[in-house]
Amino acid sequence: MNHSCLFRIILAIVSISCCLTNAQDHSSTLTEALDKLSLGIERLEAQDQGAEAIIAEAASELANAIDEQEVQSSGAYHALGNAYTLLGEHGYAMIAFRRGEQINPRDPRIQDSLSYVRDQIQIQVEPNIPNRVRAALISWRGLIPRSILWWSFISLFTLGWAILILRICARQLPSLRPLAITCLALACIPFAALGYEWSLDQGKPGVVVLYEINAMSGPDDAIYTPVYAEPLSAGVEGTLREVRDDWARLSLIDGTACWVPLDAISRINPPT
Amino acid sequence: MTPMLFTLRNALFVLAFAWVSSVCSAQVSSDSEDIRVEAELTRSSVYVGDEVSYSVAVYNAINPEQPVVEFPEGVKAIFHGRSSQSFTSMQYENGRRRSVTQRSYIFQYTLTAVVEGEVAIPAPSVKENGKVYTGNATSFRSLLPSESPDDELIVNIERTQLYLNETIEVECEWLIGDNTSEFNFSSSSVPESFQIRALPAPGNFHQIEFPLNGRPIIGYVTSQTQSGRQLSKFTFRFTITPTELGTYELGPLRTIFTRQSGTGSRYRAYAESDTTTIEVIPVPSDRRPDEYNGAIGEFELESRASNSRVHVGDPIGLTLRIRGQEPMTGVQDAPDLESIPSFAEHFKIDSEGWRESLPRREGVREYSTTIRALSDRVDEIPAIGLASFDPILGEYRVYQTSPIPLSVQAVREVTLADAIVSSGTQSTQSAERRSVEKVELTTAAPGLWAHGTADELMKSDGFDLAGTIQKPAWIATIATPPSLYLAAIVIATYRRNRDPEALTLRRAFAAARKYRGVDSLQCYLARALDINQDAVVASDVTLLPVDEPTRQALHSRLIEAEHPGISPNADPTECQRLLRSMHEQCLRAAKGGER
Repeated sequence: MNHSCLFRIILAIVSISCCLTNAQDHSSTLTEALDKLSLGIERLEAQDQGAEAIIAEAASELANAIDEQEVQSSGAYHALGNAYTLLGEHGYAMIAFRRGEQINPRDPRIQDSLSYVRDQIQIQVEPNIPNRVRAALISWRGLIPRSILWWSFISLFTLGWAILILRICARQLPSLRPLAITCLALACIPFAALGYEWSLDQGKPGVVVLYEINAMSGPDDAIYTPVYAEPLSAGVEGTLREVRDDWARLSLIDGTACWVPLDAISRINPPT
Repeated sequence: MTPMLFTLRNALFVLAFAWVSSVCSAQVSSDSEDIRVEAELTRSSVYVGDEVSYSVAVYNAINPEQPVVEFPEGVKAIFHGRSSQSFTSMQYENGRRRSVTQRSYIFQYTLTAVVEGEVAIPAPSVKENGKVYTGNATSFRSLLPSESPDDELIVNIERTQLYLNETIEVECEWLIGDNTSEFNFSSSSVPESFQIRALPAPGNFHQIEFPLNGRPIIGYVTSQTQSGRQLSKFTFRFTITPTELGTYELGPLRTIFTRQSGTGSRYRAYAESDTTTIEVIPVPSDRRPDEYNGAIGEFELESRASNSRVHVGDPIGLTLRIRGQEPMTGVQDAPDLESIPSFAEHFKIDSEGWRESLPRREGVREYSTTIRALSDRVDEIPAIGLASFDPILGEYRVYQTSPIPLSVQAVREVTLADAIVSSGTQSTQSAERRSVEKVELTTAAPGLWAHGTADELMKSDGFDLAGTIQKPAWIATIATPPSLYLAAIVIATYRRNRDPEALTLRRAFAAARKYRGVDSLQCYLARALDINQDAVVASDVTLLPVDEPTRQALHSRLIEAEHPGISPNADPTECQRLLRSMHEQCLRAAKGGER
C-alpha cells in the first residue's frame, strides 16, 4: 500500500465521520428544540409565566433547524405549528401546518391541527364556486396516498408501452392497440391528479400573519378605503397575486381581493 | 525559558477570558431586549370636541395585554384595537445564523377633550407575562374657540321630572348663522347614567349622522326665517332614559364647528344650549301590582298559537310579541306563565320556559314556548298580561293579549305525550321511575396532537412529485418503455426491409390499394411479377403461389376484365378481399421460401 492510497483512505474516513457528526448535530439540534418545546408545554400547563418565552425560543430553534437542515417531514412542521399555536401566532401556525400538509396531506396530526387553527381564526371566509371546484379536484389528497397514484401511473404507463411493443413483435394480435391506448389514457389520470395538486402548491398561497390588518382597496392606506369593515386577523388564507412597493394584493378564497402591507402576510412556499 | 512560558500562559489566559467575556456579553445583549412602552399623541393642542390620536406602542413583547390608561375625566377615549408590526432580520451569533424577529404592538385610541384646559394623560402600563411595564406620560392642550353670536342651540324636553327608567324624547334645534362645516357635539354634557337612543329623522330632508355621547344620532336640515333672515336649521331628536335616581344637569349641548364667513375666512366657533335640570324619581310603590317587573311606558302585547284544534297533550307553539319604546326596560323576559293560574291549571308548560327570538328588532321583543292542554275542557289560551307604570298618568296598568280560542279533543289511547303531560298531576298515584340523564355521543372537535421525537422528525415522509420526476432512476423508468417501443419499430422495419421479395410484394400491395376493382388486382400482379400493368392477363395468376380457390376467383375477375361485355362492373369489395388474400398468401410463400 503506497502513501497515496493511505491518504485517500484517511480522507474518506474523515469525510464519513464528518457527515455522521453533522447528522448527529442536526438530530441533537432538533432534540434540544423539542425538549424545550416539551418544557414550555409543561410550564404552560402549570400556568408558569415564563412558559411562552420558552415556547417562543423552541419555535425559533425549530424554524432555524428546519431551514438549515432542509428537513422535509410533516412531523417537523407539525411540531413547529404546535409551538406557534400555543403562542397564539395563528398565522405562522397556519403556514407551518400548510407546509406539513403539502409534504404529507394524509398525516392526521396535520389535518386535525389545521382544522383546529382554522377554528381559532375569527374571520370566516366562505369559498366561492371556482375555489370549491378546486378543492373538490384535490379532495382525494387526504384519502389516496400520492405514492399509490404514482405507482398507478408508472404501472399503467409501462403496461401500455409494453403492449405496443408486444404488438410489433407479435403481429397476429391486432386487438392490442386499443388496449394499449386505454392503458396510456388511464395512466394520465393519476399523473394529472398529482400534477394538478403540485401546480396548486406552486401558486403563491399566503397567510396573514399579523393581527388586525386593514385590507385596503389599493396599495396605500392613506388613499384607498378599506375593503372589509373588519380587519383581517392572523391566519386568514389567500393567494398572493401582485406585489407593488410594500403592498401585496391578496385574493381570498371567497374571490374578493384586497391589498395588505407586504410584511403582514407570509408565503407558504417562500421563493428560494 | 520559564518566564517565557509564564508569559505565554498569561497571554492564553487573557485571551480565554476575553473570549468568555465577549460570549457572555453577546448573550446578555441578546437577552436584554427589554420590553419598552411608548405613548404618543399626534397633536399638542386641539379644540374642545376635536379628536386627537393617542397610541401606545409596546416593543419586544410577545403578547401584551391592553394598556391600562387612567384617562382624565375631561377626556373621552375610544379604543380602536391592536395592530402589530414585525421586522425579521438574520443575525450571526457565534458563527451560527439565526433569524430574529422584532415585533411591536400598537394600541390605538381616539381622544376627545370635552373640557377646556391642559389635559394630562398619565403613563400607560402594559402587562406582559405577569410583569407590568410603564410608558411615558403625555399631555395636550384643549382650547375652546370663540362663541358664535349668530348661532342658537335650543333643547326642548317635555318634562323635567322623570321616573327611573322612563324614556322621554328630547329635541334639539340649531339655528345656523352662516356657512358651516366640520361640526361635532362631542363636548356636549349628558349625564353618564342617561341612556341615549336616536330617533328617526323625516325622510324628505337632507340627513346628517353624527355621534352624541358615543351614540349615532341622525339630524336633518330645514330652513327657517328669523328676524327677516333665511336661516338653516339643524334638528335632531333622541330619547333619554335615566337609569339612576337623583338630580342631573342635561347639557349644555355644545356644537363646535368651522364657520366660513362672507369674506372667505374660516375659523372654529361654538354654540351651546342652556342647561336643563332633570330630577329622576322612583316609580310609586302604592298600588303596584305583584307581577310588576320594572316595565315603564306603553306596550302592546300580541299572542299567536301554532294550532287552534288539538288533542289533549298535543304541543301548541305559543308566541308572544311585545311592542314598546326602546330600551324597553323591565321587559327582560316574557311574563312567567306558571304564575298565571289559568295557565298553570289547564296547561302543561315547557320546563325551559320562554325562548326569545333573536336577533331583536327595534321596539319588539318576541318570545316563544310550547304548551299542552291538560284536558278536553280547555276552550281557550288565556290572556297574558304585562304590568307597566304609565308615567304620564302616574299609575300602573296591565297590558294584555287577547285570549285565543282553542278546541281540544280527548284522546282514546294513552300516548307518550299524555304520559309527559300527566306525569305531574298523577305522580302521587304512581311511583315515579327515575333514570339518569342521557347524553348523546358527539365526535370530539379536532385539537392539537403531541409532537414526535427528533428521529421521527428527521424522517422524510410524503411524496414529492417534482423531486421524484427529477431523480435519474425515475427518469430512466419513464423513458425506457417509449425508447424500447421505438427500438422495436426500428428493428421490425429493418427486418422487413431486409427481404427484397417481401418488400416487392408490400410495395405492390401498397400500390394496388390505390386502385379499385379489377385494376387493383392487375396492378398487384404487374408489380409482383415485374411486368407492365397493361400486359397482365388472366393466365398470369398461375405464376402466383396462391391456393386454388383464390386462383380461380382471380382468374375469373381478370377474364371478366379482358372481356368487358360479360361483366363490366366487378364487385369492388370482392376485389379488395381477393387482393388481401392474394397478398397474404404471397407474403407467406415468400417468408416460407426465405426460411
